Amino acid sequence: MLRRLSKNKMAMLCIAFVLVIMLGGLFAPLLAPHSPYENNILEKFRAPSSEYPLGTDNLGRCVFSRMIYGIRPTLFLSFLTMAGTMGIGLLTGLLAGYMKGPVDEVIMRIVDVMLSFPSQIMVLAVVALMGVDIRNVIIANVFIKWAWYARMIRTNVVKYTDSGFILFAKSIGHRTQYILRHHMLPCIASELVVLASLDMGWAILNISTLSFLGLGVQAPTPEWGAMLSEAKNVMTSRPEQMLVPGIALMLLVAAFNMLGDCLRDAMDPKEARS
Amino acid sequence: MNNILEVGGLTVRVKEKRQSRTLVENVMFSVRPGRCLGILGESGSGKSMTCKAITGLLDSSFQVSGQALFNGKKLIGMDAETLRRIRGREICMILQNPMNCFDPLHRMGKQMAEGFEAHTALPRAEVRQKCVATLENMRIRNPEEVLMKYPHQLSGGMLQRVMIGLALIMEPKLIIADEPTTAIDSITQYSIVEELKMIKSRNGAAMIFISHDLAVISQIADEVIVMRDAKICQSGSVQDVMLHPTDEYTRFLIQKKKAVMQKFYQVVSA
Amino acid sequence: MRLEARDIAVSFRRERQQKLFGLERQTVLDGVSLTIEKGESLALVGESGSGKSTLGRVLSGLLKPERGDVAIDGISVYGRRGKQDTEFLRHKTGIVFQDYTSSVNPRFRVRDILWESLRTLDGMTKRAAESEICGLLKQVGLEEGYINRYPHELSGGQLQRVCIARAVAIKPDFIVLDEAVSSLDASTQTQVMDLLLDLRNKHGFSYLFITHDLTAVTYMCNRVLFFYQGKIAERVERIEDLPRIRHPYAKQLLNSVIGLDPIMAG
Repeated sequence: MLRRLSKNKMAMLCIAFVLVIMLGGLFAPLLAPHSPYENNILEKFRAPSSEYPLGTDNLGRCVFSRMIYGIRPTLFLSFLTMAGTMGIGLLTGLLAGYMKGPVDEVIMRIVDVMLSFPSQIMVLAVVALMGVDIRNVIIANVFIKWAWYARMIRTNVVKYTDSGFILFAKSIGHRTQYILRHHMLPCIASELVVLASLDMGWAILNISTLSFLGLGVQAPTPEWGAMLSEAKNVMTSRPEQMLVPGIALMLLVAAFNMLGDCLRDAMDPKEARS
Repeated sequence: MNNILEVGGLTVRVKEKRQSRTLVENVMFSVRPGRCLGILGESGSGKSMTCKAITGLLDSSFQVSGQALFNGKKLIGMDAETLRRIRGREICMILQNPMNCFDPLHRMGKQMAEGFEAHTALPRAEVRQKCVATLENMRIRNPEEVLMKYPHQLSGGMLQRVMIGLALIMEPKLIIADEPTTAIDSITQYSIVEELKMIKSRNGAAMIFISHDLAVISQIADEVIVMRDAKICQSGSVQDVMLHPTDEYTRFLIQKKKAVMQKFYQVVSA
Repeated sequence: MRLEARDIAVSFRRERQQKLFGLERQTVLDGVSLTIEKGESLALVGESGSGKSTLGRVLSGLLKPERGDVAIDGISVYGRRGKQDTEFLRHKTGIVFQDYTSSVNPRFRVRDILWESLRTLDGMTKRAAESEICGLLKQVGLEEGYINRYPHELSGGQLQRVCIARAVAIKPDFIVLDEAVSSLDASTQTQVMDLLLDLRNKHGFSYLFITHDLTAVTYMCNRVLFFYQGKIAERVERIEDLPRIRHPYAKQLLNSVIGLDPIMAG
């Protein structure tokens, strides 16, 4: 599978891009020329130079350093959110699709209720209720999004539940855990991967949106959405301030989306011969 | 009698992941009106591909070469629109899985009428009359009721009958039946084979019957070609090929079927 | 080994109900009883929708009937039983389905497919399984090299042989063949049937051969049950008595067999 993946140039490009960003965030203290918090009003709105590779913002902070340090909350928090959402969605979707009967009915009715709430407003409402704290942001996102994945995963599970190979496994006495682990999960794995990468994109955007609105990561912590928020204040006088975080966000989300597609193709055993 | 269809040097290749694969190689045969040519072969032998290539049903990823003369007209290389008109009026196809060939969202009556609308300009009332007559010819009881039903409400055998009826509506000169009895239960299989035998003698159309079942081919075909791995192994009249097979693969096919039938006759004549 | 089914009844809730929360049911099996002794091949003949596949599932332990029970050597399959009895029943039946493409996990190689069956045997280790797998493949007429192939890399006949191998792997007493040869080409059908006969002679399996093709019945089986609308329409206890059947549906089937002219006219 890795070999097939390596042949797909777009996949390699996306993986490389994401890896570079991840490593950048990891080694931020080594890579950033300045501290992200160090402000120097005299240096505000400087153009890019050798000392400030991407210039400075409204408080004289190095934009490049803030971008690098900003990778941490952006990626890491999104990853946590995605893991939580997919985890709960997977568990409930699997149970509902495989067990069928009353278990399926109960879970799906809960899913129906959750899906009838408008997601964006709910996230805002939950954060507003529980207080502005990054933990609450993650909890709010997971709370809203799990139902969507539960439903998609259930659909896929139901597709395979009556297959001959699962019936056969049952007929020779294999337990439910065995069947779920060895048959069901690998079968839905490719769909899961696409959903997971799409969700990463969604989570990144969401965290950034909340930070943009002032409800997520708080100043002065660098985060790409928060940087966009500060940039909007000088939108008319210094429009270039929005360029760097905006383009970076767009590229990162696009990379995850494309990666999902490529991974799905790579995981299909029918593509094995090439 | 002139041949209604003459095929020579027919070769079909497909491009698959940087490699070219030959699906049909240098196939040659002819069909006369009122006679049936059987194409005997197993999955992957190229038997269906041959007929799809002749009727222009393969897309551009396939390369078709050779020639196919239908009533003197060259089919391979013909423009799409002329070919479409021939397909449907003069050449009709009966396909393998009747359930998949009908649109599950529309009633049978509407789908049958579509065939007429595509090739004639008859008024609606007349079209409906013709549909009913066709169903009656196929010995379907309550044809009006059947016209009101959706495909999933009819059995495979019934759908296959409707498909044959549809194929005959235009009174084609050539009928190509691609494994029409494969996905159906035994009793209906038998009646469909009988039906096709009658059509052959009554309509005077030419027929090509594709199957992997030697018994069915022996009943309905006059001439037969045996295909394996894209090539023809043996051809000739059914009598010749069945009683005096010279090709090893043909002998193998006959031997296998004979073993099963011998046992059956042994039990039944006791 | 004796398999006994008593008064099996199965029905499903109808998809289209007259009332909003209606309880109408569609009867699929209506009081079916039969026995199968060791080494016998029983044919179950009927058209699609007659309930024969459902009966196959009930007899192999996959579907609990509403009424009636199945017993193997006196031990009830669906009733209450102790741990010892459950152990006893565990590997008694195997099943081979009609649609070979959907009856194997497309992500499993041949080795994984067979290992899945073998691992349920007591005391089987991964190492011992390697040689068992090669032995099984040989028994069903496939070369060792197939061990690493994926299902989509095999032909229909080869894939069905793998399905037979995995059913045989658990060393069952009784195998349900649910239209197992119906989707194969004619000559492959004969070859697979020869394989099944060979395996029966070697291991003493009993077969429940579900089909609608009478020529396969005469080739493979020594007893026949004709199924019609959920009930047994006619029982033929010896295959030689087949020409003397009386039920109209059974007679119609017999007359529908397509003969091989001109080789065997009549």
